[in-house]
Amino acid sequence: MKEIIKEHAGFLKQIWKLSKSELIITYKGAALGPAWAILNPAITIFVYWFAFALGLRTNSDVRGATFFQFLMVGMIPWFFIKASIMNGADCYLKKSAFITKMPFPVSTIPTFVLLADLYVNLALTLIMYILLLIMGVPPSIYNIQILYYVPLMYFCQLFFTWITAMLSAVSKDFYSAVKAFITAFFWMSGIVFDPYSMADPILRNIVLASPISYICNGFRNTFLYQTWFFETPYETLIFFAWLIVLAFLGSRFYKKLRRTLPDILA
Amino acid sequence: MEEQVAICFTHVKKTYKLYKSAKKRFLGLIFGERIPYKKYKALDDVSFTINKGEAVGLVGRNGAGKSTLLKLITGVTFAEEGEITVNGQVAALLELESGFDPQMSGRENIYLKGYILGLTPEAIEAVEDDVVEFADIGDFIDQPVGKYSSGMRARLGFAINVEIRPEILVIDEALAVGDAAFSEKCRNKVRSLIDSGVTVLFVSHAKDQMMEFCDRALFMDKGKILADGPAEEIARQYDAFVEQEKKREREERERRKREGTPERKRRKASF
Repeated sequence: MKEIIKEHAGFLKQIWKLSKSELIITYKGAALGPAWAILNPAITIFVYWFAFALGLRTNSDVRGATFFQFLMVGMIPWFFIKASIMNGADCYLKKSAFITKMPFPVSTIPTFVLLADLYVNLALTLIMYILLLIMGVPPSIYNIQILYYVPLMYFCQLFFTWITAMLSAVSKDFYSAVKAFITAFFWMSGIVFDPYSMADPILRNIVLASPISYICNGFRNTFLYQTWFFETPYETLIFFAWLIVLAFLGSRFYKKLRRTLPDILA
Repeated sequence: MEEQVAICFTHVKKTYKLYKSAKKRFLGLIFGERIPYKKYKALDDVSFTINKGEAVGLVGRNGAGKSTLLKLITGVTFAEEGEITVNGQVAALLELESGFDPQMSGRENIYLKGYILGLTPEAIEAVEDDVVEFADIGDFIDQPVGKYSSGMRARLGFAINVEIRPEILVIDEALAVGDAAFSEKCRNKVRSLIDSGVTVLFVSHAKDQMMEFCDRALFMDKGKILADGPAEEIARQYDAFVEQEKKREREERERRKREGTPERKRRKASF
């Protein structure tokens, strides 16, 4: 952990610039460019809404919010989570030139790769907020919790990436495994359904214990349900336990494998 | 005295673990020594000191350990034993184009590469014009690097590396860049850097070039430094060594032919 903080300390300006360039590289070369960052999620939300609300007819309101609002607010953080899992797990592989050809503070790679994804997500969140206002959801003091949930979401994904990126660099099987699990994460984390309305209490608690569902429900509490984060103490506690475990494991992996990483990737 | 030293290696050892497959390597990381692997000694107890302002050549056959040595100096890889001291900002002309993004323009890539090397925006701004001027690729500087010819890419890469004002410059066969005119320009640049007190480590098979720049040379083989002395002396030794090796190989081949033994046990390619 000390090593990682030290690597970041003298490199903050560069991280900021590299995250910007990462964003530019992603959307350069397409005529619509950055529009895809918005179009893609919009289409995804519409498709799920179509399948659930019109196809399966689960269009009933969820605790006072329309199903569409419920779905949209839960899926916005998911887009960041998905992008950061995908881009995070192979970031050492993709940036292997930084590792094998030049001296570089390697632990900053996940930081700026995920930051680029976060910028896109902040734009999405803003658009979502405007849409909610148009739909007649009133602004409230609870909205400021976004300053709590977004950093937590970012750091949770960052710590997770410390583990996945390192293991994926060691063996590509791990990267394939991570990708395969994304679908499971999505369907089992209470993004398209309300975990609080699950009948089985054990299953409900398992779903609520997932960090992904903490973030997605957090966004809903912030924008739809007017609930403070300390009003869900059980979920909050478990989430922080996850954070600590991920940070501990991630920094251990980094410390253990950093020095062999250039030889593995070369 | 301390400040005089630019690079100092004491008893540095570097071994690569060669596993039979990716699976074995993965298991090796988990279970350590229990998984069998072949040791490849890239550097075997290497010690030397290079003072500030020296221009030192490095000669040796392929696989002698030169590249590993350079990678250790630049801080890309790490040794498992011994101590390495490097005083000063290192610029490596190892892979001129590494870190470039093909979609970004040459100018944007100057900044990108600068950030990757840890420079601040102000520091890059200060050398931007010099880099553009040295690369001398005209309007292409604002075109995506992916559209460049290989010569242009190398020119830009070389320009960035020499214009960021390194204190230690590591050159690996990089002076054969571009056409004759540019190559001449590069040589002049390196010469002026040496004159201004930059420490230079120069790897080349071109003996003449080495002797042109360096007053001292190291001769490596099989991960060891066999000789360290004046460049001309070392160049002579190296020539003799290469001749001797060639002769030995020739004799070996003839002996094999006579005795009819198979050249080497082969492993079948997997496709």
